[in-house]
Formats: sequence, structure tokens, C-alpha cells
Amino acid sequence: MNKIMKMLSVSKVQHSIALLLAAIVMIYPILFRESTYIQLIICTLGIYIIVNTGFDILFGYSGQISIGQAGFYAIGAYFSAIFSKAGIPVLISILLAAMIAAAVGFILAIPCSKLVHHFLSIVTIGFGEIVRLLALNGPTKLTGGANGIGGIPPVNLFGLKLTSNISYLYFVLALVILFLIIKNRIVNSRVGRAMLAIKCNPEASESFGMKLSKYKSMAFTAAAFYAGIGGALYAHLVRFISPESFSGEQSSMFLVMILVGGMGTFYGPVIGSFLIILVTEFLQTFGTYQMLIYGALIIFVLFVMPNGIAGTLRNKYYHLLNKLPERVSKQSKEAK
Amino acid sequence: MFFQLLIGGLAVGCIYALIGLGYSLIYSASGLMSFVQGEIFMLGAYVAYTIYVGLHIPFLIAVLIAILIMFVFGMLLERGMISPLLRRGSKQIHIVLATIGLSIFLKNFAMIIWGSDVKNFPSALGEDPIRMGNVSISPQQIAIMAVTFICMVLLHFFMNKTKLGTSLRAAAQDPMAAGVVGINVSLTVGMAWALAAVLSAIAGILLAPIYGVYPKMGAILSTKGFAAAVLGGYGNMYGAIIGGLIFGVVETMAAGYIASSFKDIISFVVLILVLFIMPHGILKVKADD
Repeated sequence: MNKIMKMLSVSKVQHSIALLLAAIVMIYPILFRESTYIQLIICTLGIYIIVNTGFDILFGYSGQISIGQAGFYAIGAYFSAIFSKAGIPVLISILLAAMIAAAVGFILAIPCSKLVHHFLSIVTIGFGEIVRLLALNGPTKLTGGANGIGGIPPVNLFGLKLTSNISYLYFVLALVILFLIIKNRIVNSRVGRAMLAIKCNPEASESFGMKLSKYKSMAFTAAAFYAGIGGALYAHLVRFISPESFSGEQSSMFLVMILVGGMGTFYGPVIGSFLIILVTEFLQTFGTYQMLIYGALIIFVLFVMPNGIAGTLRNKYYHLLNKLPERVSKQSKEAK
Repeated sequence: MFFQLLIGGLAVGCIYALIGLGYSLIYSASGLMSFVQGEIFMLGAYVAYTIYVGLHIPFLIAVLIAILIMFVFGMLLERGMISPLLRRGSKQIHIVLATIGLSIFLKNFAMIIWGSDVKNFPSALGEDPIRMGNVSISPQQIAIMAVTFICMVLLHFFMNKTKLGTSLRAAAQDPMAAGVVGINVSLTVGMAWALAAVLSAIAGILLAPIYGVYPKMGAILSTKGFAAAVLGGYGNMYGAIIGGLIFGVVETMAAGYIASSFKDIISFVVLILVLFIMPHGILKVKADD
């Protein structure tokens, strides 16, 4: 085991593993050209990874809970659908919708940056419900009420229409990679470190001259933007949206994904989204027991690994690294 | 029209007050937030329904058995899930998530056991409304207000006059000092959760004859109950009552005069505004309460 960990700790090996994984991901859809069902699931997975990556900035790094991410997701989906049906190019409408979601996130962050824990969770629940109810009962000419919006145009990439699942899959994949990199840049920047500091000790960070509400609302805006992009991608994937897809259950699903994967880590949202999609697809065979097992699973995860899979693995990794004799001696040499 | 809406609003407000009281009890005893209150509300109604309609046991006895079951349930919830999680070093956020998980579990548990259709809970008082001028009040609405009033008076005396209630307040104020003078703190915390469960279950049983019993009946009511507690002053018993009544009346008036489809939107907007403008609530939460 130690040998394996030693191998893995060499960055060359890490890079080649990453390349291998990327290659598998790229080639897989070509090999399984026929199974559109799996392609659809992978597309959804990509969308969830984007949403959860953004959510992780808010929840994992900034420490603010939100049980209303489906609200931003819905804003992205609805606005992108409405804009693209009005004739605006799809790529621009996706971007516009995400920006509207981000703007709403910024406005919501103004009262939210003062609130903690259960107050914040109840406001975000309320926000998610307001968005869903507005989509259901609001301007029905725009949102279609309970019937939703159908016939949403597919993504048009410089004259290339992405109608098939495979081409859409690559489009989503490219965006996933892009947004993972952006998140990594945000998190490792001064802003990201400030968010972490505020999460750990708000009083101390404030006394160092950080404006709490500024960083908190930045996290909210970023998460809303990511969710908006995810929602817009979802709308152009299934090309039909209705208020049902954006219920409170969707919000708690995002939360569970982050929790299971491990919040505040790079791989956490990816692992979490993957596992929960796998589990929900697997649980489909249980029919009515699906959500029952799902609920029990959440409690189980909290008991067994409260830091999530990525968090637990990271702890184990450092634990093993500390046991390696060479590394210790190297450090002590440096110390001398 | 106005008085009709006022009576309806007060009746709904009483339900919010009962649920909000549960939130306040849990918060003052353990500083936590539970998302299962809505499901306990639903479960209480289902248990009473099963005993009353299914087993043909007289209404009052059925309700008492249901309340007893929910008391045990609340105690088990704290003993079996919350305090083990806390002992493992879980943070508040983990408790929130655990209760969300449990609420998903219970909702689907009820769906499997009782089915997802709306069960008709016959009112023990009959359906004939009482007419007073041009205002008609259903007996169930009177029952809701009367029972809520009795619950509140009982709770007030329990908290202020009995030894258990006093120790509950003491444990809420300073757990360590309370432990030093010989109060069983973990028992009193469990007691608070159990009482919160009982209050929610009573609310569920009271509302069941009006809206029927179905697995999702508690989902939105629990959020509004919480809103009521926040409006009045979170953690304050009397605040939850005032907040609940105000919230119920405002919501019903909005539904009556503006549009019923916007009822929930308006109540959530009110909630967000209240949290933004006066996070301490109407009664400022005092340390010595």
C-alpha cells in the first residue's frame, strides 16, 4: 500500500493517470455510439458537475449553505429557453441566462450575506420555491405554466447544429473542463483564500480587513452563474422544461452530491455527481423504494464519512504520506 | 369577507404557531434546526388516521395514542440520530443535512405504507358550519383555535411551574451549569425534541380534517411554521405564537384580496423581508427568556 501511495505521489504518474482518464472519457462515447441512454446520462452528469462545482465555491469554500440552487438552475433554463425561442443565437442566450442568474444571485446575496446556518437555509428554500411558483403561476405566456416550454432549439455552434447526443456530449465536456479550471483559478486566488478564511473564522478575517459581505456575495454570484449555465445546458439538452424539474428535491440533490463527494475539494463535486447519478440510476430498479433508500443513504454517509468521499480520501492520503519514511527524512534534511 | 378571512387566517395561524413553537423549543434547547418537523406533522396525522379510522378506536383515545407515539418518536429521533451525530463531532450543517435526509426517508416511507392519494380524515365534530351574521365558521376551525390555546396555556405552565420545565429552561440557558447542579441535560434536550414532535403532530391532526392526509402535506407547512417562529423572534415561545398568527392572517388576506395562486410567493417574500429587515423578530430574543 505504501509503495502504491509513493508511486501516486509522484506528479509524473499523476499526470499520466489524468491523461489516461481524459482519454477514456473522450473515446468512450465513440465506442458506445449506439447507447443514447448512457450518453444522455453522461450529458446530465456533465451538467451536474458544472452546477456542483459552482455550488462548491459557495458551500465548500465560502461555507454558506443553499437549499435553493434549483432556483438558479431554473432561472438559467427558463431564460435560455425563452431567449433562444425568441431568435437569439443559442450560445449567446445561454450566456445571457447565466448572467441573469448571476445577477439574481448577487441581489439575493445582499440579505443573505448577513445570515448563517438555518436562517440562510430557510431563505434559500424560500427563494427556490418562489422561482418555481413564479414559473408555475407567473407570466404563463412566457413560462407556459405547468405545461412548461417545449421545442427549445438545439445548440448552434458556428453553423454546426448539435442535435445528436454525442456532439452535445463533447460540447458539455468542453464546458465542464473549462469551468473546472475556472473554479480552480478562483479558489487558488486571493479571493478563494479570503473565502476560506471567512469560513474558518469570520471575526478574525474581518479584523484583517476583509469585507465579509463582499466575498460572501461574490461566492453567491459565482455559484448562481454556474447553476445558470447548468440549467441552460439542461434546457438545450432535453429541449423541454417544466416547473417539475426544478423542485426543492432537485436542490437537496445538489446538496447531497456535494456532501457525498466532499465539499471544499477539487474532485469532490465530480465524484459526488458521478456517484449520486449512478446510485439514482441503480435505485430505479427498486421503484417506489428509490427515494426511501436515497434518504437513508444521506444519513448513513453523515454517520460514516462526514467529510465526504474526497475529504476522507484526502485525509487518508496525507495520513499515509506522513508514514512514508523517505519523505520524513527529506523534510528533516531540509530542516538541518 | 374581511371577518371570514380573519377567522380563516387565525385558524391557519394557529397551526403555524404550533409548528413554530416546536422549532423554537428545539432551538432553545439545543441550538439546532430540524427539517423533519413537517414530516412529523404528516406522520402524526397518519398515525391518528390509522388508529381512528383503521382500528375504529374512539377519537379522543386515538389522538392520545397518536400523541404518545409521536412523543416517543421525537425522543428516539434525538437519542438515536441527533446526539450520536453530535458526539461524532458533526457541525450544525451536518445536522441540517441529516434531518433533510430523514425527511426524504419519512415522506417516501409514508408513501409506501399509506399510498400517495389523499386520505379523508372525518372530523369528529361534524361538517355543519356555524353561521354568525354573514360569517360562517366550521367546527374544525373552532377546534383548532381552542386546542392551540389549551396547548399554549399548558406549555406555559409546564415551562414555568413544573420542575421538568424549569430544568429544561435551565439546560437551554447554560448546559454545563445545569449539569453541575444535577439536571440531566441530555434527557431535557431529548424532552424538548419530543415536545416539539408532539406539537407538530397535534397541528397535523388538527389540520387533517380540512385538507385530508397525504405524504406531502407537511412539506410547505413546515417552512411556514419556521417563518412564523422567525417572524416572532426565533427561540422565543411567545414570539412563535404571535408570529404564527400574524403570518396566517397576512397570508390568508393576500390570498383573498390579491390572488390565491400568489399566496405562497407572498408569504416567502414576507419571510425574506423579515429576515432582512428585522432578523431578531417582533419580540427581541432575550438571553434570559
